[in-house]
Amino acid sequence: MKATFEVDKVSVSHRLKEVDLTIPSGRCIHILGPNGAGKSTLLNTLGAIVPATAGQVLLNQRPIEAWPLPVLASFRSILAQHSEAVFSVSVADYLSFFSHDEQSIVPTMLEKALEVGGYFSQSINRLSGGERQRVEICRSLMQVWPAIEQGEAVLLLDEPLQGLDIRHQYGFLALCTRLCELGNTLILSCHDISLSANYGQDIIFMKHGQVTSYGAVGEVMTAQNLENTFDCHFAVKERDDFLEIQVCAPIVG
Amino acid sequence: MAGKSAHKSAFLLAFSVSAVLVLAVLARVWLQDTPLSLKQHITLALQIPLVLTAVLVGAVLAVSGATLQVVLRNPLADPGIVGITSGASLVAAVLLLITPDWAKGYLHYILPLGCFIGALTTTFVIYRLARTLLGSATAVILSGIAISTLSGAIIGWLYLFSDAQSLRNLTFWLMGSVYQASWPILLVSGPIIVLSLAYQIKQAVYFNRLYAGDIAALSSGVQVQRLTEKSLIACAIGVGAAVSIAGAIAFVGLLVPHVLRLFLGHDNRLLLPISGLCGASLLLMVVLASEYTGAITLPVSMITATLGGPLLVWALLKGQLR
Repeated sequence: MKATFEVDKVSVSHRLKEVDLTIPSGRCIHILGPNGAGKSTLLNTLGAIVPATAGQVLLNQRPIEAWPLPVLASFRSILAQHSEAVFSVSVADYLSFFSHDEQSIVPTMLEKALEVGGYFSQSINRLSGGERQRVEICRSLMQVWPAIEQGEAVLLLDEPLQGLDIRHQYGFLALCTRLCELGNTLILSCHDISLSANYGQDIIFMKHGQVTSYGAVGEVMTAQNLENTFDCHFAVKERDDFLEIQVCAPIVG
Repeated sequence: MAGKSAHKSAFLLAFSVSAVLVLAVLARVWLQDTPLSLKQHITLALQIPLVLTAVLVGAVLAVSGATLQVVLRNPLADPGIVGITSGASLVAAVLLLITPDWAKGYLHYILPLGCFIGALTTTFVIYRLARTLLGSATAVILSGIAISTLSGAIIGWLYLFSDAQSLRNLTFWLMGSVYQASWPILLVSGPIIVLSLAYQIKQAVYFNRLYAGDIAALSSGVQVQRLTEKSLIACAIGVGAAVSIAGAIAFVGLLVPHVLRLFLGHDNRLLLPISGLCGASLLLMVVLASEYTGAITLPVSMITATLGGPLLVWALLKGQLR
């Protein structure tokens, strides 16, 4: 399978330590790890936002820093954890500023999952946290929508589920599955282990700036790996068609 | 979202208002009972520089205010508050006091240069300070306030050591006036202001992406840091030129964009050009007020602040700012 990313001994001072990864295209990859494990830094490094201080990131066989920014912007998108909005920009304007054709028309597939159509006339800073997050997800996907339709997009999403209610969590995760079926590569960080276990195809476990294990869900989603990563006791049970994960207690001492 | 035709009519409206005001200022001389040759002379030597000054200075202050607010992601930003104006007027004040008599004839050329140096220096100092303070936009505002307070204090000290004539000149640099303009200064500063305006308006489409934060803007292909630096320099140069013609005029950069956002929304492609036209109209109105009341010495900042205070409070109440 064609590799999207080849990450070779990449370090970012105080953040990442010698990360090695090969990420094939068309996969849905979830990054799991405790706070400060380096999840956001890894996503930002893959997205050419934070440069590696050592090592090399290849995106489609080409060093990430060699990509012209406008070309990169046409097929890779990054969703950061959002900050407070200072100006009361209307949602319609906000989306149109990032849309490739400067229209605020949300593609049907996105509208179905994110349901942002009702907020068009509202100001971005009047939305609740979850509503804002749906608009932000929509914005980051609209930036590269033509590439998504071609199945050539690379989507790097930092905690996209943050603040979403249960309906939109599932709507969004179903959208992710659909996007990967089209051939797009999706890498996202997450704090909901059960959702990742059932909706991610591959899992990257991170701790202290290092990748501790990486592989298909069935192989790496083990109680052992979870305990090493999160310092808690876990019970993993395989049901008919899903993985049930229970957190028992933090490991003391 | 307003459609393309609504954009066009908003622009046309603002443009017609400024055009009417320009004509109103120019018409005054022609309605008087004076010989034709005198009318021509007054128009060419006084009225046209006056109108050009009002238009250029008003436009660049309003547009730079709008730019700074978006680039620094702070609704409080304004060339005055960020310290660009005060740096420029400090240098101008010092130059006025220390220039020896034999060089006074060259003041037309020395002053604009001094104002640029002042504006650029404060912008550079503020930007470096802010970078050291982790590059936060709040830090830029705070260092700006520190710098402008300091410049104000130094100008205050200069007051103590100046004679009556210099005092009047200093007041001009502190409160602004559109009546000091002359062709030589305009020919130097005018083109610079036009370039600064053109640059800022050209970047409007990228400014729009800054609303979503640095990473989102970078993700969509905007070189955020380079854009920020270039825009700050464009503002500094443009405002420096404005100060060299008309002294320090307060509030235009804060007031105009905020009131306009209530009506036009946040699309900078629309907001920046119309801010320019409205800034120009605002100063033209000041000119008209002084022309028709005969109060030539009316300090511009006094009027802009008198109008601006209540309007800004109104904009606040309308929920523009939080």
